[in-house]
Amino acid sequence: MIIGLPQGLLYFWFAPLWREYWQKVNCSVISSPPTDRQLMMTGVGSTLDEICLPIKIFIGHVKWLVPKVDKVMIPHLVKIEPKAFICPKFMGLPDIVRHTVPEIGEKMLVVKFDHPKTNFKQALDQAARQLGLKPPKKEFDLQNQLQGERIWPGLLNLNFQKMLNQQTENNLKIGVLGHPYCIYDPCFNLELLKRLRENDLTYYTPEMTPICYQGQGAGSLEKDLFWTLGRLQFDALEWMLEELNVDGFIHISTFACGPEAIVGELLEKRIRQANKPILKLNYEEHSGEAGVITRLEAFLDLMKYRCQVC
Amino acid sequence: MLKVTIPHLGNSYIPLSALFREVGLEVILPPPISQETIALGAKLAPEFACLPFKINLGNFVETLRSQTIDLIFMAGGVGPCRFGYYGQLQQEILRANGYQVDFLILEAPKTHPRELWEKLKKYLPKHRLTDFSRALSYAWQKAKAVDTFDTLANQIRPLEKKPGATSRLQKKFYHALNAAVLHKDIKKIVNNALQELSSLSVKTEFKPLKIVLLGEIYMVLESQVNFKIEETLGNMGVEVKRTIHFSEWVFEHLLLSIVKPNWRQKQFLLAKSYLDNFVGGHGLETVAHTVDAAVNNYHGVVELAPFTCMPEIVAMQALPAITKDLGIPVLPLIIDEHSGEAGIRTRLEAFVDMLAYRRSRSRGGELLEVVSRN
Ligand code: SF4
Ligand code: SF4
Repeated sequence: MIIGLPQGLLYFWFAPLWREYWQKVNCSVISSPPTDRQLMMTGVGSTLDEICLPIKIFIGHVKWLVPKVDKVMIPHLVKIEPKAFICPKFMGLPDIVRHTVPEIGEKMLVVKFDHPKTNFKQALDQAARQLGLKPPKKEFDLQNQLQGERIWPGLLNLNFQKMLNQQTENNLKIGVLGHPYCIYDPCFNLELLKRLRENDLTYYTPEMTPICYQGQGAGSLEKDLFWTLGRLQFDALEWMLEELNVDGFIHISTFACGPEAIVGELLEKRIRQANKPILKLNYEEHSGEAGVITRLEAFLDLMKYRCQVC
Repeated sequence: MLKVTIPHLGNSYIPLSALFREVGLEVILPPPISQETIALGAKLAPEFACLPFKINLGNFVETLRSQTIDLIFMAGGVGPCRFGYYGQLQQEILRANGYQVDFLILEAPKTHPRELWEKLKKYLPKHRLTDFSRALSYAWQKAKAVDTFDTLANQIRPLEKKPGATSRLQKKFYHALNAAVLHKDIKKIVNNALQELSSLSVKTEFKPLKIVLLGEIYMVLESQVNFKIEETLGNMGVEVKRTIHFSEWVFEHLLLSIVKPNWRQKQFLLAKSYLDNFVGGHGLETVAHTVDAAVNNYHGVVELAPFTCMPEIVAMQALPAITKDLGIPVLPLIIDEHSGEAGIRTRLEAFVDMLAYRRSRSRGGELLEVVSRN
């Protein structure tokens, strides 16, 4: 059986885990290719205007996969930690897919992660049983490696630490904040990370935050944030300010993102209090490369200048 | 006396003023929501914050500009929707703009009414729990009264012979109810008002179109922001059934979620084939009530959503499928700070005409009357 993984939303976190699981139960796994312009516009064309770009992109990936696989896995991430959600749109994702990609029909394979009712293994096992497959007896390798840790921050660290180590340390350090599907999708953010590398900057992302910072930044807020991706950014902010002392921040978000309207504002206030420069980049499907490059270059010049004077 | 203010939310000021007045606080209401309120809030709030957030903020600033206020009362929540973080962020924004004021945030749905009292007590050393429960029952009585009256008013308005008669009575009733301070006065006012309303002269032969009004709670309840949609539709000869009422909302979130945590069960079942998960806010209710409207032979549904509202946008994705399967037309209206009355009105008129046409085709003969009312 061929399982398709759409390369959008939290694929950027969980792909290794999902891939390994399905291979363990003798399925072949294919992912949709990295987002490109055409795929993005397919998604844009099939959804309501009002929905955010990352969901539109995800729909584009689903559409790409449907004719090529037996099942398309739709991760239904309601909750992956106590007391926090990801976003209402994640909670309604299977229904959004069902209504916007009607051709998916029986090929839709929903895997519902709903802490604490199902942990990652249980959720996947349930889905496997639905397909008539026998769930693997033992915990699978990836999960073994992470024993003792809540699975998702551990997983993040494993993969993203690598990414961090691949970079050479430069003079200028920049903290990149935002949601993973905004940061790691070059088509979405018009190759922001590559541009940073080309400018000899070392960048740090929320996913690279050491586990010991978990709950540190988010915990210092007056009221607990109830969005996982927001909490992670606050932990990252703490790390970037206290330990790394980065020279500036870039905050990436998408037009009309609900949670980020609140989280972004709170982050910005903290960053300004710490007296660091911040560039806020807000993307939608019509974002032009020229505009982003000009703003980015001006910002990087400012950072370099600040670095020289102090 | 300690001065408190609350954000506008439809008629909720009537029960809430009663509650606070009764425990000995002075209630200062924000000036009525105007274009300026909205612009003011939008200027200070993050660009993509929800419209209700912006308008609340506008309310607070307009109040604080002219008065010293000790306490702002807000409801809160635990996600997934943004509403749960409104108060905290609004407080930060107000502080950054030089307004020092305390917030009293009632964390619905998890807070027990007793906790509200614990919080309030800090400000009211002389009051006892019995005072508070009396105030609560009193506010509750008013909340119920408003909703009972409004429900009936929506049924009578399309039938009234003298245009505007229902709305005039409604205004008079709100005014009297807000001023009433004794249980027995409230009872009398309500009974009188209901009687007056029922004895308005109406057209008996006219069969109004029936529309269900649903969507995001603030947009549905706040007539200053939804361009008086109930009245507008009523004047077009439409009977409006509103699915959200302040009293019910309070009841569900403060009481049901404690004593009967699965109170949403019916909604889940109704929505299931179209939306299979709670998505925050009133998203699930929107889908459930649309199905309900179709099953109960309503002629159409109007959905109100603020721009960027997450639950309603998710629900919106499911509505075309309901229209297709069950044949109920739905008009989604997305409102933001730039929306104008004329645009909304035109869309409502076109929608009502369409519904009237559909009905005349299926039953014949009733189209002319609706048109002649305009
Ligand atoms: S968090 Fe923002 S970007 Fe992500 S799905 Fe929700 S609204 Fe879209
Ligand atoms: S329901 Fe909509 S308007 Fe209300 S807080 Fe949530 S996103 Fe904002």
